[in-house]
Amino acid sequence: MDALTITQAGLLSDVEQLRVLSHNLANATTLGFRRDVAVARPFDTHLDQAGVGASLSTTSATDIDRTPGALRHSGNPLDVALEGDGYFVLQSQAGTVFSRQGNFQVDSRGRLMGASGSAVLGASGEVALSQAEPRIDQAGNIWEGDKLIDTLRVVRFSPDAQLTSLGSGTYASDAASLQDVEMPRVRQGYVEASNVVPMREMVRLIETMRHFEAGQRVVRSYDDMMDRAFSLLGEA
Amino acid sequence: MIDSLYIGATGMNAQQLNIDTVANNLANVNTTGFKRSRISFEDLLYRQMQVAPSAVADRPAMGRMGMGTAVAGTSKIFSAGEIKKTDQPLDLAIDGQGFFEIVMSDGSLAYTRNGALRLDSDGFLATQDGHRLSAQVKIPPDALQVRVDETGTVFAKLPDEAKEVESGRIELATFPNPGGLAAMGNNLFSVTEQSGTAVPGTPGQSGLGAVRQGFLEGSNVSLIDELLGLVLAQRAYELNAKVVQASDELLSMANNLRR
Repeated sequence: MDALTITQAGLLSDVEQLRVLSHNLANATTLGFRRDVAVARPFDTHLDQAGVGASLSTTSATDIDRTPGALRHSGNPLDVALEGDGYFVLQSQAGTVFSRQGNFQVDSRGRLMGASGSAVLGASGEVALSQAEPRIDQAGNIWEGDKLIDTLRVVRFSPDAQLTSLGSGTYASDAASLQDVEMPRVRQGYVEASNVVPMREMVRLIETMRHFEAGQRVVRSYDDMMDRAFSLLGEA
Repeated sequence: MIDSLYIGATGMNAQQLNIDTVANNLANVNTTGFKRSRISFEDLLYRQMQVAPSAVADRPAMGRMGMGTAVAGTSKIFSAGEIKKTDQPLDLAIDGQGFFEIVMSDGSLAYTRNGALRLDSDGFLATQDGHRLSAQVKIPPDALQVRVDETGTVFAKLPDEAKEVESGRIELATFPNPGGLAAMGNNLFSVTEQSGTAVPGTPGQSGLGAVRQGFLEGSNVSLIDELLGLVLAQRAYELNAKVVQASDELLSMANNLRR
């Protein structure tokens, strides 16, 4: 494995890093969005691979930063945000999915829906409302007047559980790590902002660009070196 | 080429639509019965990354990459606007949920919260654009005074009679999902599959708002919220533009690998 191939791996991982940063920045205003984190491989794994002559892989894994975003007041009765840990449970075409995005709507049949059209699940399945302005208390109970309609289902995952982003603010996970939150803290009239901090992403962006530039210089120097070597050899 | 360039562009597109929505809300800050729109975003399709053959053993070989953002949809927010006194007898405001039902010139029905009514040439109650209420309320031409009570019943005071005469009754309509109504412009909404069918009812009863004569409902646009939204959208646009710029620089550096 020569210096060129190793540098190339570094350059490609910078491109990947830039992709993650741009995805986060594009979603800086997406409600309930959790930022992606590029997980870089330790250098020795690269070195090991270089040693045995296997091809260097540049695809790094991404993980999800589960820090909650700030809650913002919206005053809309169908906006619901979760304080602290937990996810709403939705029924999408792909099956049961989980989401922090609580800007719900009501469909023509009176069902409570997520923003991207998946039904929100309560304790007894889909939540059927008879009007679009229910009252939702802190425990997630949905009231119409004095009548208890349903209770929003809120679940959480063990910290080491693998979450997979499915897009549209939804996540999938293996059912084994799932548990219902006994005392959720549900806030009606609030939305959860994206947990992307633009400043942090911009600093990472500068870092990534400079790293790429450094890699480019290495390639050039290597090229120069080869050039000189060839010309010297030619003279001899 | 590289994904980040396109991802930055999705962000710019989304923020552009965000600004369009804010602009429309701001333009209608003084429109009677106007309901503000809200745009919601979603993170965009994740595609499976190709997994390295000799993947590191201690991490499951996962990798789905996000591809930016998209607009999930815009919805109308039907929170109440401020109810303002006008003292005009034909100005009606709905104090709560519900819509006035109006017959369009092609016979179809439309719905509005704008209760600034007038009489058309035949003496029927109609909107400012001349579309009659579906209740077809006719006010006698010699009426001295018109009174509308909270339940929508219209009374007219005639010159030669001591008591008021009932001339009709205005009904209101509600929907399972008012947010799904399609805005047609002119403050009118039409039924869609998302909204569900109209449920007629008497004002002031079963959750419907009471009719208030001599009042109009203002727009529910809050200037401060919209301006804040505008600042945010502008800065978010700028961020995404920076990403596009950075991707461009990166590509240029890649092209200059060889001198």
